[in-house]
Amino acid sequence: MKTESLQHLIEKYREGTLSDSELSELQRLSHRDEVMAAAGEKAHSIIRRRRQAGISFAAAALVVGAALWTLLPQHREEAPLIAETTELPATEPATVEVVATPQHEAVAMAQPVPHKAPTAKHTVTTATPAANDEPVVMCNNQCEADSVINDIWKFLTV
Amino acid sequence: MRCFNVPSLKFKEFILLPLLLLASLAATAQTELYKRYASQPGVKVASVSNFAVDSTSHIDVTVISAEDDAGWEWMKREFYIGDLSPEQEAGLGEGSDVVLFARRSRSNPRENAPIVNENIDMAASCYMGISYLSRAVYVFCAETEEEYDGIVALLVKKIMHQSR
Repeated sequence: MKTESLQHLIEKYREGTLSDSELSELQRLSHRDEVMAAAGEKAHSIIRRRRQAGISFAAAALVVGAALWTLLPQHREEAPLIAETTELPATEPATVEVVATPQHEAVAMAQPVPHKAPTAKHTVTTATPAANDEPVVMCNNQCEADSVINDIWKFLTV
Repeated sequence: MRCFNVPSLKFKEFILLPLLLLASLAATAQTELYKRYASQPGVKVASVSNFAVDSTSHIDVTVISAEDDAGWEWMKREFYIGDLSPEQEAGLGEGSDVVLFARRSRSNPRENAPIVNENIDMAASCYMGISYLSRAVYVFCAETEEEYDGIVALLVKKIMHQSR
């Protein structure tokens, strides 16, 4: 209704048939329209500022969250080459079908063993099929090199 | 990620030194295994270098076997070898073997095989076979994937043979 009356007054203003009362009404309405427009613009700017503030807050929250996430101990990247030895597996025979089953067992670290030089050393020239190079066998307790190789073959094939 | 503060090393040295160290460790791993257990009483150790699995695969094998009950008990503690069930013990008495396989660290079979990028580090790991009947541990160390394939093929054949 307000728009129609305002349009009507504007047309009369263009035609030059606007009376004084209508002119004052046109001024009142146009002034009111400007006030409404200003109020609307102000509301829009408030909404826009709030929206921008919300986006900024969300972005800041994301950045802070990502930083905290990476700082958590379980998300730090560990050096993979270091073998952890606090929990060591044990091979437990489950069936005769040869299955290696890990078993939790708290075991202390390996104690250093005093080294000593090999007590005997043999060089073998045969006993392995299709061997292009001669295997070198180091034994202690005067074991026979040939029997060692045969023992390995027996373990692998029998 | 662990950081190493080595300001005096240049880039090439920083890359080459670990590679040389790894290569030297791989070359001496078999000897280290032998030396580690050579002085252990009740245990017999033999280390075979260049053992021919087939025409192309030559690997290093260390055999650690018990000479007596005390040696076998020590080996069970050293390599985390579990006890058998009464039925399996009875089977051993009748001559049927029980064999286990495990993947361990090459330099120290007491430790797990090292993991790199969620995969087992082949260059630093070994296959370990345990025979209850012969009271022996066989440590197989290969350098290439093809050599490991040769030994694994034999182990799988052995498993299939035993499971019949």
